[in-house]
Amino acid sequence: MVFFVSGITSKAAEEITENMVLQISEDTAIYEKPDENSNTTGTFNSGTPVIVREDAKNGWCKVSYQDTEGYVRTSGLKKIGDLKQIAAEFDAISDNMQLIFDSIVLREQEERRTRIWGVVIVILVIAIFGVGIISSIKSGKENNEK
Amino acid sequence: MRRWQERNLYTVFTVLLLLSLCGYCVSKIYGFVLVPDEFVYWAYAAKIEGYDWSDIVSMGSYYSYGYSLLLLPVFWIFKDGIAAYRAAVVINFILVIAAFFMLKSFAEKISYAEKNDNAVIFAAIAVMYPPMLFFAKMTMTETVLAVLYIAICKLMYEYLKDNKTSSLMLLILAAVYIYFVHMRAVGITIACIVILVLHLTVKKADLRGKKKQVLAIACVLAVSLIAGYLIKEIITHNMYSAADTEVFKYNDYSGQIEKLLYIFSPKGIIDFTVSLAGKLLYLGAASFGLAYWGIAYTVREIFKKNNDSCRRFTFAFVLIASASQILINAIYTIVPLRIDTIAYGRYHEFVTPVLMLIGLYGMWESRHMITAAAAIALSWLPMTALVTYSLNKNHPTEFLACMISGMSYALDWGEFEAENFYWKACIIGILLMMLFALSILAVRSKKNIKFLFTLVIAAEMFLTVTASRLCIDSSSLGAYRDTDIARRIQQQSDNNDRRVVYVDENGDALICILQFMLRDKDILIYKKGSEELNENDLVLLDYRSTYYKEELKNKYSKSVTHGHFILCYNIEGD
Repeated sequence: MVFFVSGITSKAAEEITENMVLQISEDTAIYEKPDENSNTTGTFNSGTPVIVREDAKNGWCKVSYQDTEGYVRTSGLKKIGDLKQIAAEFDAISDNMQLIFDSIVLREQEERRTRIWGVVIVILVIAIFGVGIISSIKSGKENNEK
Repeated sequence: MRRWQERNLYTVFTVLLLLSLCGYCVSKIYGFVLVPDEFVYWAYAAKIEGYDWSDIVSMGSYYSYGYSLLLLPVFWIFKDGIAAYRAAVVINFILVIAAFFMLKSFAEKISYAEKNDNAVIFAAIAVMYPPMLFFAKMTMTETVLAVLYIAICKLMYEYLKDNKTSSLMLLILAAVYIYFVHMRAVGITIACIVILVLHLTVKKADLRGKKKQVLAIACVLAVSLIAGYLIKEIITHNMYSAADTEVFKYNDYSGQIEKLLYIFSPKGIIDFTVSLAGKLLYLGAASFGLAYWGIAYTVREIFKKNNDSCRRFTFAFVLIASASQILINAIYTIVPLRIDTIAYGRYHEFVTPVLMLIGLYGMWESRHMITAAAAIALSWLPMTALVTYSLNKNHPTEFLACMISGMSYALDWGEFEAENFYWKACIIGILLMMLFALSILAVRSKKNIKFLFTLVIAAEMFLTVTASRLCIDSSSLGAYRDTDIARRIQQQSDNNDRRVVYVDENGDALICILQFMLRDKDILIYKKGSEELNENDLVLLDYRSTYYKEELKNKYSKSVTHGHFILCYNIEGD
């Protein structure tokens, strides 16, 4: 069993299973189906780390990277060569997720504050409306008495 | 309840409501909503404090400097960008409260009743004009323009009544200042001068002994205009030296000459008619029809037989000022570049509260309210038809809803169609006007249910919040995310001399958002392709840019995309 730097041999391709993490060896087209005649939806650049979503079959394999998913030739895949790059990718993802999480927490705090002020406004409106009704009833009674 | 108690109660209620709305809005604010307008007003204040942001200012057109004088102390006191912005918004709401008291005073003067029961409540309804509160949440000039205009109306009445020199001096200074807050307010300045000259001509006999006063006032007017113009030249020289001439004059009067000539062409006449129709449609829809009542009442009061000259001239001023502002707006936005340009209420919003106040009196005194309301509603239909005709002809695609916030209540971003939007806005405007007319009828017939107006005020606040939610609230998340980028830049560049560089790919001045937050950092602006980037630099790109993936990935190991920017850098020690 020989692994080429530029690709994985057909024998080794059959050993590509779901949830493996591999790397794109050269710029590779992404297909909708495991068929070169199907539509292409994009390209994975060389060095992109991908997660295998389905076991490899007939020289094809379904992979994903971030929110891009599709079928690529197994010959365009290789084992992870540069762990540093992968680590940097996960760092970047983790960074962005932290930022998004912080935004969500902040939004919840904002919602709480604006809800409090909203309640204050509603109370003011109800209070003045209530005072107006009471005053109107009182003046109606006074007019009747007169 | 006694009348004075009722008036005090409504006064306190209005002030408390405005303060509560301020608290409601301020906590969601993280920065600019409309760029580069807001940034430029701050940039002039920053220049006085020693910060030179002219590179970024030069990327856009000219903006007036009058509002910057109010922002200067805020900028000086608050060193943090977000705190400064929020403080400026609080000041806007304080100005709105001041406008309420001025409107109340003006209402007491123009109404016929000696003890004016309706002055407070009518002033409250006018000051709660939804677009006025909408723009108070931003550091745009709209709030200051509205407050100044209300002050000018009040001062005009006071001067015409008492002929006091102090009132006249303040009036002239306010009329000149409003022009330098925003050039499009020149209609107010011109209306002021026209009325004062007419008044002098009519009252020549009374002013015979005051020639020196008249001369002194003329000198003050001339000196203030010249001084204002000279300040503009200094600003142009200091802040716009690198500006493209065509971009610079887009907002300046020098850029409007072509539009003025265009009006006299056959196509220009049609476009001008459509533009005017759109502005009038907006005026009616945003003010629940009250502005039309205001115009009708104003005309009536000018020609009414028993009115004194003070009253006639005051209403004449309001009419000329309002008409000139609508005309200026119609000319400035004659070419319908966007879907909102046809109506474009923002440029004449500031005259609406006074028209609404007068309109409320008009409605209150009207004997044929429902008939008149129906006639107004019918008049909106051909105006809306003209607007949709223009949309069909020109097919604009861009849309800035905040420019027509007073018509935006039925906005549906999911299924937006321009023509449907305008028809929906027309129908909603008609319904709101009818509801308004019915509530006035009800209160007029039974005065002890005046508290019903509370619901009107509450409805106006609800519309303000709705317009904000639809038009601008989503920008607060983007602004918050930008603060994260600013924080990272601060962390990476503290105690070292790392440059902060923005690579400009499309001429957008979005970088102003970060420059405002990082006032002590000089952000260098490089055009794409001309830059000399070092590995030590903190490089900023537009969030839509692919430049990092294409070119910079090999130079900078780290990139963060958040808010409006991509930040690329190397961690120190890498």
